[in-house]
Amino acid sequence: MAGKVRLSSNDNEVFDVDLDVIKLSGTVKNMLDDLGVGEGGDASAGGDDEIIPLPMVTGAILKKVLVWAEFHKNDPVTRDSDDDTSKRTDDIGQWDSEFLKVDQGTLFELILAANYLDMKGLLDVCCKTVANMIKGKSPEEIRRTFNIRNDFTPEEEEAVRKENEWCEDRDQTPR
Amino acid sequence: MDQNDGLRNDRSSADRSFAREISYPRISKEGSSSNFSTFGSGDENSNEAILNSKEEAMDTSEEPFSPGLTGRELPSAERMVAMMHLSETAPSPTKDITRRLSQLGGGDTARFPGDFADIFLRFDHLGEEQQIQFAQELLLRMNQFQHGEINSYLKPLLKRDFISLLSNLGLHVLAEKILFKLDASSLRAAERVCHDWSRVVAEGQLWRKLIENNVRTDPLWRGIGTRRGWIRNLFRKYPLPQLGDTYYRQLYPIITRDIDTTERNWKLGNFALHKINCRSENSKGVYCLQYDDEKIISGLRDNTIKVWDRNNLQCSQILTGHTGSVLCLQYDERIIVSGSSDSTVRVWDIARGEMLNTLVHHCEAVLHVRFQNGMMVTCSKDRSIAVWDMLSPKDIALRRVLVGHRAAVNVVDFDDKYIVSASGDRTIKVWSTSSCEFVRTLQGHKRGIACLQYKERLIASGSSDNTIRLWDIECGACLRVLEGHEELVRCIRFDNKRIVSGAYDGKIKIWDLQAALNPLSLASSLCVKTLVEHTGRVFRLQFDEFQIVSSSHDDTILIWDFFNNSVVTLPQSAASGRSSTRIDGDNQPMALLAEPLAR
Repeated sequence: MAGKVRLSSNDNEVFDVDLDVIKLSGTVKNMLDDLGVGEGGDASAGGDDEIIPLPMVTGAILKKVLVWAEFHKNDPVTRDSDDDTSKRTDDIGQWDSEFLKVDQGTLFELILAANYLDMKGLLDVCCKTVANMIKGKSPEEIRRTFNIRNDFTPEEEEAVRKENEWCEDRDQTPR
Repeated sequence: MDQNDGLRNDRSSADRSFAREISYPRISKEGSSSNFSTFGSGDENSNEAILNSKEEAMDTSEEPFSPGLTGRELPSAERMVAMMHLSETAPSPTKDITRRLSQLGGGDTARFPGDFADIFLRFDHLGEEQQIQFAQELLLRMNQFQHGEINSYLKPLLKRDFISLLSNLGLHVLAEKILFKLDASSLRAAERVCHDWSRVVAEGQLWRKLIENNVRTDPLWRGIGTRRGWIRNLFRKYPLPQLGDTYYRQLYPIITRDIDTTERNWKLGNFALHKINCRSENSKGVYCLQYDDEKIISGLRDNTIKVWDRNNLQCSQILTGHTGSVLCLQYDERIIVSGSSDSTVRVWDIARGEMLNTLVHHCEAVLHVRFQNGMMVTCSKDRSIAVWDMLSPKDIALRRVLVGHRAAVNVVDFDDKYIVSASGDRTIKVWSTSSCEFVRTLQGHKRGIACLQYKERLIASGSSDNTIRLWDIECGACLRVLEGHEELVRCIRFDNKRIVSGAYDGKIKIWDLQAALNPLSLASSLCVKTLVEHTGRVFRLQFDEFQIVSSSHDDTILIWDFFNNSVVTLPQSAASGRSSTRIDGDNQPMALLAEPLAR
């Protein structure tokens, strides 16, 4: 049976987590390696109540992150380059898409947490979800989706419109 | 129950407007009473209001203790929260944003009667769970109209401008990672959302990355990049300073226009025709060929192999040695392998043109040869198939002979799973590549089969019954019969979009592969174009995204070029106004004209 690790969030919530779950976090894994806790080892070996502080993550978000990690702990390790060069966003698993049915604030904090904890799989699926919220929308629809104010001056808008008109105009140039 | 009702009934209209002030304190400060009258009339208005107040809140959050905010009798709850955060050694960016957002609506608690300050202070000391329960209690005391107001106030609060926020936190990589997932039209919309988004798209060089991604994954893009010359501005270790984001943004629609034109040319049959006349002296005819960007290598009826330079269409090399017609060939970077009616297979050094090896095994004409990854398969009029191990051009050993066909084996193809062969006996046979064991026979053609290609799950075959058949190799089912040729179908090739076939009547047909694989398509819609230029049997052809190259009994090789050959002006780079300093040798001047195709 794999050992356990104690993590504490920035609001001092403490979580006991299986090593094979938290290994999905590169950040925590590095911290454990520095402490000399290897695969299958026991965190308490280095001292009975060693707690790993995660000052950038709240307890509420850490809880969600751990739910994700628990579900994905047995995923095969993918090559890093695969997802960085892939433009696909239609390959989000059913469990993940249910998991990410959250408000934008939570999704945003999950991105920050996944980035800080170095959890590539979670970061990828969150970024894909945001990309899917943008895809196929007009600028105005995007603004409405994310509550963004249009800060372009009418002159700037006109300039952009002209530039695109040039593109479309060229589109119709006969051969 | 009664108590609650009593509470509601007791509330005066003054109380209600009081509640409104909690939601929009900033607006009332500006003294625009019209905002109150349009209050809640629609999402647009309330969003606008919140955005305005958000800006203000963001500004003040930079300096939480600015003089403008001091001088109140009691410290506001938000300022206390802000103080607590500031005293932390490492304030988290998350909290920072939460704090900024928490200032949107609240803030000005001084507007309430003095004893309310105590309530806010107490509230601040509650735990998170209790704060929520407290707010729930408050909500229970309000009516549905008020709930609606709070809802429309809350909704935008729950939204996040991911791209701007990530970028402003210094996490540009994450903002770019999200936008990199977009297609071109979404990217064009994204850069028009606001200045922050536009900046992320520009600084992240997302148009260049989008083009590079397309070139990496789509041979059509790569081919156009090579032909137009802009490919040299991609995949650079050190990006060219004078080619800013604008260059790539403007380049994109120019590329898609080239693609559209090329696709239209295929559909309409618009092509430029280039002709090589082989001028063979004795027996005329070109049995086989293979090409790349520099050369065409052809096997002729006059026993020679001729290499043609694509720049001037002149013969650059003649390989002699076969004592019969050269019926089939294949080359890679190092060698040419050819099969002949003299029953031999010969291996040639491609650079020096010298013969390296002669394999004497088949007892009749060698009709087809394929090789890859150290393995070679040949087939013959002697009804057998030979599988060879190629350790080196000079060290080729026979591994296995496959027998089973009852007539000449006209063609073979293979990958690491199956060897596929087709014969004059009207059948296609499938063999296991690793074990060389027979797997299955595909039956359907009514006469002998002359040609075939196999890729992934699909086999396309052409027959003396004038039809083309498409097969699923795994289950052996015939997926489609293509009718239209009026004579024996002698050669066939397919890619993801098209099938191109050549027949004994000299005609070449282009078929829509995707339509052919759709069982609902009408048979009459499948043949896109028929090309009639050859004056003799079409023996062999190969094609790619831009061209077909075909050879015939009429002693010619034809190049059918569907690329948009009109001159295209590429966008000017940012430095075009100034005198451009050249960075290195292949750095092109500003207005890159497409090089005219020298053919």
